[in-house]
Amino acid sequence: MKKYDVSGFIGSWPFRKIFKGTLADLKALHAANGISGGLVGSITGVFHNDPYENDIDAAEIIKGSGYGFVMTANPMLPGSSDDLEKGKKELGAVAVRLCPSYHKYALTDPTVVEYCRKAGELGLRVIVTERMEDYRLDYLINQSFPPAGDTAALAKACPETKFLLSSAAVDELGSIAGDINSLPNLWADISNLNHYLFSLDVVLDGRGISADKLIYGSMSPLYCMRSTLLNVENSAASSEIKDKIMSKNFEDFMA
Amino acid sequence: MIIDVHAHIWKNKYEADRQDLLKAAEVHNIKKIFISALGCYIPDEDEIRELNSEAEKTLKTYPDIFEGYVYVNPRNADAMDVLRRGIEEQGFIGMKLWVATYCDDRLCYPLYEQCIKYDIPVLIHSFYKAVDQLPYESLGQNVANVAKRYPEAKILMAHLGADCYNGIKPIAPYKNVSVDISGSIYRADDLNYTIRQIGADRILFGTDMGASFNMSYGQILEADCSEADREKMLSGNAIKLFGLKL
Repeated sequence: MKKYDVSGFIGSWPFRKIFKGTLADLKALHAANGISGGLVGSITGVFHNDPYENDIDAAEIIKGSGYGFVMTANPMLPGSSDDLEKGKKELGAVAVRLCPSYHKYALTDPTVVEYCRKAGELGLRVIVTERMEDYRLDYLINQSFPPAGDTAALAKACPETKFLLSSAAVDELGSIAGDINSLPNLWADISNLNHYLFSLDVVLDGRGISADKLIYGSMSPLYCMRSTLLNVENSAASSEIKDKIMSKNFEDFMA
Repeated sequence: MIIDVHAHIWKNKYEADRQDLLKAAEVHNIKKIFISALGCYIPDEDEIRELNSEAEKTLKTYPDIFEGYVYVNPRNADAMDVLRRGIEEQGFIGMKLWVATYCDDRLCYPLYEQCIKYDIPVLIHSFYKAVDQLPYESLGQNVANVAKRYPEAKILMAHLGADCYNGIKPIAPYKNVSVDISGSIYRADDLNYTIRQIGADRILFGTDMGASFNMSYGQILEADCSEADREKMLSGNAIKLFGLKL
């Protein structure tokens, strides 16, 4: 069974030195943890005024690696909507990652909704990153977090677009459990389950989120991959559920 | 072997937290868990008495698993009595300071001096955060001030100072300060940065359970270090600092 990481990154970060930011580093970390595929984007372009310029370089690095390439975008920037088609055709992008916690727009903004609708028409999945880092560690820029319900609202407004809510906390996932379970186009990664002792079990049993809608994501190299994997490995969930989270659900998201 | 030097039971949840920690010890094969009991940020004498009593109950009921810190509010008039009773009667092997006042407040000085006489470590909460900093929440610089004043004190700075870039460099020159990696922050590279700054010999494993065990344990497993250093961080350094006989 092939295991996937839906939220991997390469690149540099303006607030601190990233020691393992190359594709080789990511592949090595994945290999050490039994992961052989997934989606990869670049964190370098998150703060660029035109992230597509960085994506050109990132896509070239990732090409042929076996990973799916994820563009980085700020839908409020001029021309960003046009970049969707370019990104798919020229860069081979399969998804686009939004970072509203830094870019400070509302997911309910009509521009964002239209952007996501267009992404879906092009077959691009939209990854909404609730946070890129723990807000307590913010340096120079303080993040602000969109309500998890806004991602659910986006998914409802754009039924032809597949959405992944990335790096949401246990309680944020719990607040939209009904939507995650019922919306056929909404999934969540489990990269940020850090506030509870048996956090994946809390998500599955305590918050009632369907195991079919959770996908393993590491947020590496920003987060520690081993820590996020231990949430699955040490969970009381059945091996069938763990296999879904590590493998089948990613394949469903990408289908 | 895994020794967790930093976990808690919380006011009004004592038994539930005890059971969670016992389950964690079994699931994660933890040899020893060091606890303190916590409640409000500035507890009065009655609350301190209750918290330490519940922590003592935990140690005495499950002596094979738990060790503990006596929790002291330096602002309370009976702080020294609390420390004395905790170490001499209740079986605690360290002192815990949280957020009632800064750790370098002179109210704490007699406590450190007594801890030096007892030869016991002091676990000091140290947590820099970008927002919502608590009024008397110590930072790495506060811990460094204590270490400089009391070079004989055995100081354990919790959480890497939360933001390691704020917490570690101030305490790096003071060899009497060790750090634990407990907490709910699992940013990658924090432990590698800390190893580079102060070395693996001064790093102890902690989790801040009921926060996530996996977050802290994963960082140890992924750290760029030798297996010998990994073992030191997981247990060897705690055995040495606390003089454990295991």
